[in-house]
Amino acid sequence: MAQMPKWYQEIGPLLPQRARMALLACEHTKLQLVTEIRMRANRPFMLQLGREDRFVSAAGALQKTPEDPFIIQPEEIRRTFEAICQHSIYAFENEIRNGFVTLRGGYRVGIAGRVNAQNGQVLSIPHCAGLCIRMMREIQGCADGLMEHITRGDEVLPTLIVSPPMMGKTTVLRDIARQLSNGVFGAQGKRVCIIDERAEIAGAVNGVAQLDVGLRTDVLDACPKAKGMMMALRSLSPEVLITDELGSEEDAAAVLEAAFAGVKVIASAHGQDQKDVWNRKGLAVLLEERAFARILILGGQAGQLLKVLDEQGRTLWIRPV
Amino acid sequence: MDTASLMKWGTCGLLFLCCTGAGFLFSGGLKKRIAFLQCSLEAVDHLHTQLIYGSDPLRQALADTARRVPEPYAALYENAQKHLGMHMDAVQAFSRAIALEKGKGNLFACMTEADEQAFKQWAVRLGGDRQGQQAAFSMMTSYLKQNLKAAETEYMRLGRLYRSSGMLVGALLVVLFL
Repeated sequence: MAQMPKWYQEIGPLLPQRARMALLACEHTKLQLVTEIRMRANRPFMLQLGREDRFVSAAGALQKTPEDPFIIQPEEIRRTFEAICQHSIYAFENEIRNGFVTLRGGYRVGIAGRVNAQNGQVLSIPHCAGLCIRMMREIQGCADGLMEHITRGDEVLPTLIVSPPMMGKTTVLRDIARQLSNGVFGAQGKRVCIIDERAEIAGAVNGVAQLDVGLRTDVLDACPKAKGMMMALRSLSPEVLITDELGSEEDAAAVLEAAFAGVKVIASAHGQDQKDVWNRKGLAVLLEERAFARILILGGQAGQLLKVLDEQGRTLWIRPV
Repeated sequence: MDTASLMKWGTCGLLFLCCTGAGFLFSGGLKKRIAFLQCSLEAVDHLHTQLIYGSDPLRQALADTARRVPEPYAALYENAQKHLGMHMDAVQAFSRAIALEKGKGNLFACMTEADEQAFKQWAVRLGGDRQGQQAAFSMMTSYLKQNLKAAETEYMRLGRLYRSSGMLVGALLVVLFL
Protein backbone atom coordinates (compact mmCIF):
# COMPACT_ATOMS: atom_id res chain seq x y z
CA MET A 1 0.00 0.00 0.00
CA ALA A 2 1.37 3.42 -1.00
CA GLN A 3 2.46 5.66 1.86
CA MET A 4 1.02 9.08 2.51
CA PRO A 5 3.16 11.68 0.72
CA LYS A 6 5.81 13.71 2.51
CA TRP A 7 3.70 16.90 2.37
CA TYR A 8 0.94 15.20 4.37
CA GLN A 9 3.39 14.32 7.17
CA GLU A 10 4.66 17.92 7.24
CA ILE A 11 1.52 20.02 6.86
CA GLY A 12 -1.29 17.55 7.58
CA PRO A 13 -1.38 18.44 11.31
CA LEU A 14 -2.18 22.05 10.37
CA LEU A 15 -5.25 21.11 8.30
CA PRO A 16 -8.76 20.80 9.75
CA GLN A 17 -9.47 17.35 11.13
CA ARG A 18 -12.23 16.64 8.60
CA ALA A 19 -9.84 17.50 5.78
CA ARG A 20 -7.20 15.16 7.23
CA MET A 21 -9.73 12.31 7.45
CA ALA A 22 -10.81 12.92 3.84
CA LEU A 23 -7.18 12.94 2.64
CA LEU A 24 -6.43 9.71 4.52
CA ALA A 25 -9.31 8.11 2.64
CA CYS A 26 -7.97 9.30 -0.76
CA GLU A 27 -5.93 7.15 -3.11
CA HIS A 28 -2.39 7.68 -1.82
CA THR A 29 -0.77 7.40 -5.26
CA LYS A 30 -2.91 10.30 -6.50
CA LEU A 31 -1.92 12.40 -3.48
CA GLN A 32 1.73 12.22 -4.60
CA LEU A 33 0.69 14.39 -7.58
CA VAL A 34 -0.79 17.20 -5.47
CA THR A 35 0.74 20.60 -6.22
CA GLU A 36 -1.79 22.76 -4.36
CA ILE A 37 -4.36 22.43 -1.59
CA ARG A 38 -7.24 24.87 -1.87
CA MET A 39 -9.53 25.77 1.00
CA ARG A 40 -12.26 28.38 0.58
CA ALA A 41 -14.88 29.23 3.19
CA ASN A 42 -18.25 27.61 2.40
CA ARG A 43 -16.82 26.04 -0.75
CA PRO A 44 -15.72 22.49 -1.54
CA PHE A 45 -12.27 21.30 -0.49
CA MET A 46 -10.08 21.02 -3.58
CA LEU A 47 -6.70 19.70 -4.65
CA GLN A 48 -4.63 20.69 -7.67
CA LEU A 49 -3.03 17.68 -9.29
CA GLY A 50 -0.61 19.08 -11.85
CA ARG A 51 -2.76 21.00 -14.35
CA GLU A 52 -6.08 19.52 -13.22
CA ASP A 53 -8.07 20.18 -10.11
CA ARG A 54 -10.28 17.82 -8.17
CA PHE A 55 -13.02 18.20 -5.58
CA VAL A 56 -12.47 16.05 -2.51
CA SER A 57 -15.45 14.27 -1.00
CA ALA A 58 -15.72 13.38 2.68
CA ALA A 59 -15.22 9.75 1.65
CA GLY A 60 -11.93 10.63 -0.02
CA ALA A 61 -13.07 10.46 -3.65
CA LEU A 62 -11.30 12.84 -6.05
CA GLN A 63 -14.02 14.14 -8.38
CA LYS A 64 -13.97 16.33 -11.48
CA THR A 65 -17.35 17.80 -10.50
CA PRO A 66 -18.58 18.48 -6.96
CA GLU A 67 -21.05 15.60 -6.66
CA ASP A 68 -20.59 14.90 -3.00
CA PRO A 69 -18.49 17.84 -1.87
CA PHE A 70 -16.91 18.27 1.51
CA ILE A 71 -17.51 21.93 2.36
CA ILE A 72 -14.89 23.87 4.29
CA GLN A 73 -16.37 25.93 7.14
CA PRO A 74 -15.18 29.50 7.88
CA GLU A 75 -14.18 28.41 11.38
CA GLU A 76 -11.95 25.69 9.92
CA ILE A 77 -10.20 28.28 7.73
CA ARG A 78 -9.68 30.52 10.75
CA ARG A 79 -8.21 27.69 12.85
CA THR A 80 -5.98 26.53 10.02
CA PHE A 81 -4.73 30.07 9.47
CA GLU A 82 -3.93 30.43 13.18
CA ALA A 83 -2.15 27.08 13.20
CA ILE A 84 -0.13 28.09 10.13
CA CYS A 85 0.91 31.28 11.95
CA GLN A 86 1.77 29.20 15.04
CA HIS A 87 -1.00 31.05 16.91
CA SER A 88 1.11 34.19 16.50
CA ILE A 89 -0.38 36.25 13.70
CA TYR A 90 1.54 39.31 14.96
CA ALA A 91 4.82 37.52 14.18
CA PHE A 92 3.80 37.05 10.54
CA GLU A 93 2.31 40.47 9.82
CA ASN A 94 4.94 41.37 7.20
CA GLU A 95 4.36 38.12 5.32
CA ILE A 96 0.59 38.46 5.64
CA ARG A 97 0.83 41.96 4.13
CA ASN A 98 2.53 40.35 1.12
CA GLY A 99 -0.33 37.89 0.90
CA PHE A 100 1.46 34.70 1.87
CA VAL A 101 3.23 32.83 4.65
CA THR A 102 6.05 30.34 4.03
CA LEU A 103 6.15 27.20 6.14
CA ARG A 104 9.06 25.00 7.10
CA GLY A 105 9.72 22.64 4.22
CA GLY A 106 9.19 25.41 1.70
CA TYR A 107 5.39 25.31 1.48
CA ARG A 108 3.87 28.62 0.53
CA VAL A 109 0.42 29.51 1.86
CA GLY A 110 -1.44 32.17 -0.09
CA ILE A 111 -4.10 34.08 1.84
CA ALA A 112 -7.44 35.30 0.50
CA GLY A 113 -10.00 37.34 2.39
CA ARG A 114 -10.91 40.80 3.49
CA VAL A 115 -7.92 43.16 3.11
CA ASN A 116 -7.37 46.17 5.32
CA ALA A 117 -5.73 48.79 3.08
CA GLN A 118 -4.83 52.43 3.43
CA ASN A 119 -3.39 54.80 0.80
CA GLY A 120 -2.89 51.90 -1.57
CA GLN A 121 -0.87 49.92 0.98
CA VAL A 122 -2.06 46.62 2.42
CA LEU A 123 -2.02 46.84 6.20
CA SER A 124 -3.38 43.45 7.12
CA ILE A 125 -5.79 40.67 6.16
CA PRO A 126 -7.96 40.59 9.25
CA HIS A 127 -10.50 38.11 7.90
CA CYS A 128 -9.01 35.11 6.17
CA ALA A 129 -11.56 33.36 3.94
CA GLY A 130 -9.34 31.22 1.77
CA LEU A 131 -5.99 29.46 1.79
CA CYS A 132 -3.92 28.10 -1.07
CA ILE A 133 -1.13 25.82 0.12
CA ARG A 134 1.40 25.38 -2.64
CA MET A 135 3.97 22.60 -2.66
CA MET A 136 7.41 23.73 -3.67
CA ARG A 137 8.78 21.14 -6.00
CA GLU A 138 12.49 20.66 -5.79
CA ILE A 139 13.67 18.72 -8.83
CA GLN A 140 17.43 18.42 -8.62
CA GLY A 141 18.91 18.04 -12.07
CA CYS A 142 16.02 19.71 -13.92
CA ALA A 143 18.43 22.41 -15.15
CA ASP A 144 21.02 19.91 -16.42
CA GLY A 145 20.06 20.57 -20.04
CA LEU A 146 20.45 24.33 -19.58
CA MET A 147 23.81 24.48 -17.82
CA GLU A 148 25.94 24.02 -20.94
CA HIS A 149 24.19 27.05 -22.47
CA ILE A 150 24.67 29.36 -19.51
CA THR A 151 28.28 28.57 -18.71
CA ARG A 152 31.43 28.85 -20.77
CA GLY A 153 34.26 27.07 -19.00
CA ASP A 154 34.59 28.74 -15.62
CA GLU A 155 32.51 31.71 -16.72
CA VAL A 156 28.79 32.15 -16.05
CA LEU A 157 26.87 33.94 -18.79
CA PRO A 158 24.21 36.50 -17.82
CA THR A 159 21.00 34.77 -18.82
CA LEU A 160 17.32 35.59 -19.17
CA ILE A 161 14.92 32.65 -18.98
CA VAL A 162 11.64 33.33 -20.73
CA SER A 163 8.62 31.10 -20.38
CA PRO A 164 4.85 31.10 -20.02
CA PRO A 165 3.39 30.50 -16.56
CA MET A 166 3.52 27.02 -14.98
CA MET A 167 6.48 25.94 -17.11
CA GLY A 168 8.84 25.43 -14.21
CA LYS A 169 10.85 28.67 -14.43
CA THR A 170 11.24 28.91 -10.67
CA THR A 171 12.08 25.22 -10.28
CA VAL A 172 14.74 25.60 -12.97
CA LEU A 173 16.15 28.78 -11.41
CA ARG A 174 16.44 26.96 -8.09
CA ASP A 175 18.41 24.16 -9.67
CA ILE A 176 20.62 26.60 -11.58
CA ALA A 177 21.44 28.33 -8.27
CA ARG A 178 22.29 24.98 -6.68
CA GLN A 179 24.49 23.81 -9.52
CA LEU A 180 26.40 27.09 -9.93
CA SER A 181 26.87 27.39 -6.17
CA ASN A 182 28.19 23.84 -5.81
CA GLY A 183 30.26 23.96 -8.98
CA VAL A 184 29.39 22.50 -12.39
CA PHE A 185 31.47 20.82 -15.14
CA GLY A 186 34.43 20.70 -12.75
CA ALA A 187 34.47 24.47 -12.24
CA GLN A 188 34.79 26.11 -8.82
CA GLY A 189 31.43 26.89 -7.17
CA LYS A 190 30.29 30.49 -7.42
CA ARG A 191 29.11 32.89 -4.72
CA VAL A 192 25.43 33.09 -5.57
CA CYS A 193 22.90 35.50 -4.15
CA ILE A 194 19.18 34.90 -4.66
CA ILE A 195 16.86 37.89 -4.49
CA ASP A 196 13.73 35.97 -3.58
CA GLU A 197 11.02 38.63 -3.58
CA ARG A 198 8.14 36.17 -3.48
CA ALA A 199 9.95 33.59 -1.33
CA GLU A 200 9.44 30.97 -4.04
CA ILE A 201 12.97 30.12 -5.11
CA ALA A 202 14.56 29.21 -1.79
CA GLY A 203 11.34 28.81 0.26
CA ALA A 204 13.02 30.50 3.22
CA VAL A 205 11.60 30.52 6.74
CA ASN A 206 13.10 33.23 8.95
CA GLY A 207 15.63 33.79 6.20
CA VAL A 208 16.82 30.17 6.21
CA ALA A 209 16.41 28.43 2.85
CA GLN A 210 14.22 25.34 3.14
CA LEU A 211 15.21 24.04 -0.29
CA ASP A 212 18.67 23.16 -1.55
CA VAL A 213 20.00 26.23 -3.33
CA GLY A 214 23.68 25.41 -2.97
CA LEU A 215 26.51 25.67 -0.50
CA ARG A 216 27.69 29.15 -1.46
CA THR A 217 24.28 30.78 -1.77
CA ASP A 218 22.92 33.72 0.21
CA VAL A 219 19.22 34.46 0.15
CA LEU A 220 17.54 37.84 0.50
CA ASP A 221 14.06 36.63 1.32
CA ALA A 222 10.91 38.67 0.63
CA CYS A 223 13.09 41.55 -0.53
CA PRO A 224 12.07 43.80 -3.46
CA LYS A 225 14.23 42.82 -6.45
CA ALA A 226 15.80 46.19 -7.27
CA LYS A 227 16.64 46.98 -3.63
CA GLY A 228 17.82 43.44 -3.02
CA MET A 229 20.22 43.50 -5.96
CA MET A 230 21.75 46.75 -4.69
CA MET A 231 22.05 45.39 -1.16
CA ALA A 232 23.69 42.22 -2.41
CA LEU A 233 26.16 44.14 -4.61
CA ARG A 234 27.18 46.35 -1.70
CA SER A 235 27.58 43.78 1.01
CA LEU A 236 27.47 40.14 -0.14
CA SER A 237 30.07 40.24 -2.97
CA PRO A 238 28.13 37.89 -5.22
CA GLU A 239 29.51 36.46 -8.42
CA VAL A 240 26.02 35.54 -9.61
CA LEU A 241 22.68 37.18 -8.83
CA ILE A 242 19.55 35.15 -9.36
CA THR A 243 16.05 36.57 -9.33
CA ASP A 244 12.61 35.66 -10.59
CA GLU A 245 10.16 37.54 -12.82
CA LEU A 246 11.85 40.70 -13.99
CA GLY A 247 9.40 43.25 -15.29
CA SER A 248 9.75 46.82 -14.10
CA GLU A 249 12.12 49.57 -15.18
CA GLU A 250 13.47 49.64 -11.64
CA ASP A 251 14.40 45.97 -11.91
CA ALA A 252 16.06 46.65 -15.25
CA ALA A 253 18.13 49.50 -13.80
CA ALA A 254 19.32 47.23 -11.00
CA VAL A 255 20.29 44.50 -13.47
CA LEU A 256 22.36 47.01 -15.47
CA GLU A 257 24.03 48.20 -12.30
CA ALA A 258 24.97 44.60 -11.50
CA ALA A 259 26.25 44.07 -15.04
CA PHE A 260 28.47 47.17 -14.78
CA ALA A 261 29.81 45.76 -11.51
CA GLY A 262 30.79 42.55 -13.29
CA VAL A 263 28.18 40.41 -11.55
CA LYS A 264 26.34 37.90 -13.71
CA VAL A 265 22.57 38.08 -13.45
CA ILE A 266 20.39 35.09 -14.17
CA ALA A 267 16.72 36.00 -14.16
CA SER A 268 13.37 34.89 -15.49
CA ALA A 269 10.53 36.71 -17.22
CA HIS A 270 7.04 35.81 -18.35
CA GLY A 271 6.51 35.38 -22.06
CA GLN A 272 6.07 32.96 -24.92
CA ASP A 273 9.22 34.09 -26.70
CA GLN A 274 11.64 37.01 -27.02
CA LYS A 275 9.00 39.15 -28.79
CA ASP A 276 6.99 39.28 -25.56
CA VAL A 277 10.09 40.44 -23.74
CA TRP A 278 10.79 43.19 -26.32
CA ASN A 279 7.24 44.45 -25.87
CA ARG A 280 7.85 45.19 -22.20
CA LYS A 281 9.48 48.56 -21.62
CA GLY A 282 11.34 47.45 -18.54
CA LEU A 283 12.94 44.46 -20.26
CA ALA A 284 13.41 45.95 -23.72
CA VAL A 285 16.09 48.29 -22.36
CA LEU A 286 18.01 45.25 -21.05
CA LEU A 287 17.91 43.61 -24.46
CA GLU A 288 19.00 46.87 -26.13
CA GLU A 289 21.91 47.17 -23.71
CA ARG A 290 22.79 43.50 -24.35
CA ALA A 291 22.69 42.88 -20.60
CA PHE A 292 22.03 39.18 -21.21
CA ALA A 293 24.47 37.03 -23.14
CA ARG A 294 21.90 34.26 -23.41
CA ILE A 295 18.12 34.13 -23.67
CA LEU A 296 16.61 30.74 -22.96
CA ILE A 297 13.04 30.06 -24.06
CA LEU A 298 11.17 27.34 -22.15
CA GLY A 299 7.94 25.76 -23.30
CA GLY A 300 6.10 22.61 -24.29
CA GLN A 301 6.55 20.66 -21.09
CA ALA A 302 7.60 21.99 -17.70
CA GLY A 303 11.29 22.86 -17.68
CA GLN A 304 11.76 21.96 -21.32
CA LEU A 305 14.22 24.13 -23.26
CA LEU A 306 12.92 25.14 -26.69
CA LYS A 307 15.42 27.71 -27.92
CA VAL A 308 18.67 29.44 -27.00
CA LEU A 309 19.38 32.93 -28.32
CA ASP A 310 22.44 35.14 -27.97
CA GLU A 311 22.51 38.80 -26.92
CA GLN A 312 21.60 39.89 -30.45
CA GLY A 313 18.63 37.56 -30.65
CA ARG A 314 20.33 35.10 -33.01
CA THR A 315 19.34 31.48 -32.51
CA LEU A 316 22.21 29.42 -31.14
CA TRP A 317 20.27 26.25 -30.47
CA ILE A 318 16.77 25.00 -31.17
CA ARG A 319 15.11 21.90 -29.81
CA PRO A 320 15.00 19.12 -32.38
CA VAL A 321 11.40 18.32 -33.36
CA MET B 1 -2.42 21.87 89.80
CA ASP B 2 -4.56 18.77 89.27
CA THR B 3 -5.17 17.04 85.93
CA ALA B 4 -8.67 18.50 85.48
CA SER B 5 -7.38 22.07 85.85
CA LEU B 6 -4.50 21.34 83.54
CA MET B 7 -6.86 20.01 80.91
CA LYS B 8 -9.15 23.00 81.35
CA TRP B 9 -6.33 25.52 80.88
CA GLY B 10 -4.93 23.47 78.02
CA THR B 11 -8.29 23.55 76.26
CA CYS B 12 -8.57 27.28 76.83
CA GLY B 13 -5.12 27.79 75.37
CA LEU B 14 -6.02 25.65 72.36
CA LEU B 15 -9.30 27.51 71.82
CA PHE B 16 -7.48 30.84 71.99
CA LEU B 17 -4.79 29.69 69.59
CA CYS B 18 -7.36 28.28 67.12
CA CYS B 19 -9.40 31.45 67.05
CA THR B 20 -6.32 33.65 66.74
CA GLY B 21 -4.95 31.33 64.07
CA ALA B 22 -8.22 31.53 62.13
CA GLY B 23 -8.06 35.31 62.26
CA PHE B 24 -4.48 35.30 60.98
CA LEU B 25 -5.41 32.76 58.30
CA PHE B 26 -8.17 34.96 56.89
CA SER B 27 -5.86 37.94 57.03
CA GLY B 28 -3.13 35.91 55.35
CA GLY B 29 -5.55 35.00 52.58
CA LEU B 30 -6.02 38.67 51.79
CA LYS B 31 -2.24 39.14 51.77
CA LYS B 32 -1.77 36.15 49.46
CA ARG B 33 -4.27 37.61 47.03
CA ILE B 34 -2.14 40.79 46.90
CA ALA B 35 0.98 38.69 46.28
CA PHE B 36 -0.81 36.80 43.48
CA LEU B 37 -1.90 40.00 41.74
CA GLN B 38 1.56 41.59 42.06
CA CYS B 39 3.17 38.45 40.66
CA SER B 40 0.62 38.35 37.80
CA LEU B 41 1.29 41.98 36.93
CA GLU B 42 5.03 41.39 36.81
CA ALA B 43 4.67 38.25 34.70
CA VAL B 44 2.25 39.85 32.23
CA ASP B 45 4.57 42.85 31.93
CA HIS B 46 7.55 40.59 31.18
CA LEU B 47 5.65 38.78 28.44
CA HIS B 48 4.47 42.09 27.01
CA THR B 49 8.07 43.34 26.80
CA GLN B 50 9.19 40.09 25.20
CA LEU B 51 6.50 40.36 22.53
CA ILE B 52 7.00 44.07 21.82
CA TYR B 53 10.74 43.81 21.27
CA GLY B 54 10.82 40.39 19.64
CA SER B 55 8.91 39.02 16.72
CA ASP B 56 9.11 35.44 17.90
CA PRO B 57 6.01 33.25 17.70
CA LEU B 58 4.07 33.00 20.94
CA ARG B 59 5.45 29.61 21.89
CA GLN B 60 9.04 30.85 21.71
CA ALA B 61 8.15 34.07 23.54
CA LEU B 62 6.52 32.11 26.38
CA ALA B 63 9.52 29.78 26.68
CA ASP B 64 11.91 32.76 26.84
CA THR B 65 9.77 34.64 29.37
CA ALA B 66 9.41 31.54 31.57
CA ARG B 67 13.15 31.74 32.20
CA ARG B 68 12.84 35.31 33.48
CA VAL B 69 9.77 35.29 35.72
CA PRO B 70 9.51 33.77 39.19
CA GLU B 71 7.33 30.83 40.12
CA PRO B 72 4.51 30.04 39.74
CA TYR B 73 4.37 31.99 36.48
CA ALA B 74 7.53 30.34 35.21
CA ALA B 75 5.72 26.99 35.36
CA LEU B 76 2.52 28.49 33.89
CA TYR B 77 4.31 29.92 30.85
CA GLU B 78 6.36 26.76 30.42
CA ASN B 79 3.25 24.59 30.43
CA ALA B 80 1.35 26.97 28.16
CA GLN B 81 4.11 26.85 25.54
CA LYS B 82 4.20 23.03 25.74
CA HIS B 83 0.45 22.88 25.16
CA LEU B 84 0.79 25.27 22.20
CA GLY B 85 3.18 22.73 20.75
CA MET B 86 0.41 20.12 20.95
CA HIS B 87 -1.68 22.03 18.37
CA MET B 88 -3.87 23.76 20.96
CA ASP B 89 -4.73 27.42 20.54
CA ALA B 90 -3.67 30.04 23.10
CA VAL B 91 -6.94 29.91 25.08
CA GLN B 92 -6.83 26.13 25.42
CA ALA B 93 -3.12 26.19 26.25
CA PHE B 94 -3.56 28.76 29.00
CA SER B 95 -6.70 27.11 30.40
CA ARG B 96 -4.85 23.79 30.76
CA ALA B 97 -1.80 25.48 32.28
CA ILE B 98 -3.91 27.42 34.79
CA ALA B 99 -5.79 24.27 35.82
CA LEU B 100 -2.44 22.56 36.45
CA GLU B 101 -1.17 25.42 38.61
CA LYS B 102 -4.39 25.72 40.62
CA GLY B 103 -4.05 22.12 41.66
CA LYS B 104 -0.60 22.75 43.16
CA GLY B 105 -1.82 24.92 46.04
CA ASN B 106 0.47 27.82 45.18
CA LEU B 107 -0.45 31.49 44.59
CA PHE B 108 -2.89 30.37 41.90
CA ALA B 109 -5.20 29.14 44.68
CA CYS B 110 -6.09 32.86 45.03
CA MET B 111 -7.25 33.05 41.42
CA THR B 112 -10.96 33.83 41.20
CA GLU B 113 -13.43 32.91 38.43
CA ALA B 114 -13.29 36.50 37.22
CA ASP B 115 -9.48 36.32 37.06
CA GLU B 116 -9.66 33.14 35.01
CA GLN B 117 -12.11 34.70 32.57
CA ALA B 118 -9.87 37.76 32.26
CA PHE B 119 -6.89 35.52 31.45
CA LYS B 120 -8.92 33.64 28.83
CA GLN B 121 -9.99 36.92 27.18
CA TRP B 122 -6.36 38.01 27.19
CA ALA B 123 -5.23 34.72 25.66
CA VAL B 124 -7.78 35.04 22.81
CA ARG B 125 -5.94 38.06 21.41
CA LEU B 126 -2.43 37.13 22.52
CA GLY B 127 -1.69 35.39 19.23
CA GLY B 128 -3.62 37.82 17.07
CA ASP B 129 -2.46 40.91 15.21
CA ARG B 130 -0.27 43.53 16.94
CA GLN B 131 -3.06 46.01 17.51
CA GLY B 132 -5.34 43.45 19.15
CA GLN B 133 -2.44 42.08 21.15
CA GLN B 134 -1.52 45.50 22.52
CA ALA B 135 -5.15 46.17 23.40
CA ALA B 136 -5.32 42.83 25.21
CA PHE B 137 -2.22 43.65 27.26
CA SER B 138 -3.59 47.07 28.04
CA MET B 139 -6.86 45.58 29.30
CA MET B 140 -5.12 42.86 31.30
CA THR B 141 -2.73 45.28 32.97
CA SER B 142 -5.62 47.59 33.78
CA TYR B 143 -7.64 44.70 35.25
CA LEU B 144 -4.76 43.50 37.41
CA LYS B 145 -3.93 47.00 38.67
CA GLN B 146 -7.57 47.66 39.60
CA ASN B 147 -7.87 44.37 41.43
CA LEU B 148 -4.54 44.91 43.17
CA LYS B 149 -5.68 48.28 44.45
CA ALA B 150 -8.96 46.75 45.66
CA ALA B 151 -7.09 43.89 47.36
CA GLU B 152 -4.71 46.29 49.11
CA THR B 153 -7.62 48.41 50.33
CA GLU B 154 -9.43 45.31 51.54
CA TYR B 155 -6.33 44.11 53.37
CA MET B 156 -5.87 47.48 55.06
CA ARG B 157 -9.53 47.56 56.04
CA LEU B 158 -10.07 43.95 57.07
CA GLY B 159 -6.65 42.45 57.72
CA ARG B 160 -6.21 43.92 61.16
CA LEU B 161 -9.91 43.36 61.88
CA TYR B 162 -9.58 39.61 61.20
CA ARG B 163 -6.47 39.30 63.36
CA SER B 164 -7.96 41.27 66.26
CA SER B 165 -11.33 39.53 65.96
CA GLY B 166 -9.63 36.18 66.08
CA MET B 167 -7.83 37.07 69.29
CA LEU B 168 -10.95 38.65 70.84
CA VAL B 169 -13.19 35.70 70.01
CA GLY B 170 -10.54 33.39 71.37
CA ALA B 171 -10.35 35.41 74.60
CA LEU B 172 -14.15 35.50 74.87
CA LEU B 173 -14.41 31.74 74.43
CA VAL B 174 -11.73 31.27 77.10
CA VAL B 175 -13.64 33.48 79.50
CA LEU B 176 -16.91 31.69 78.75
CA PHE B 177 -15.24 28.34 79.11
CA LEU B 178 -13.72 29.32 82.41
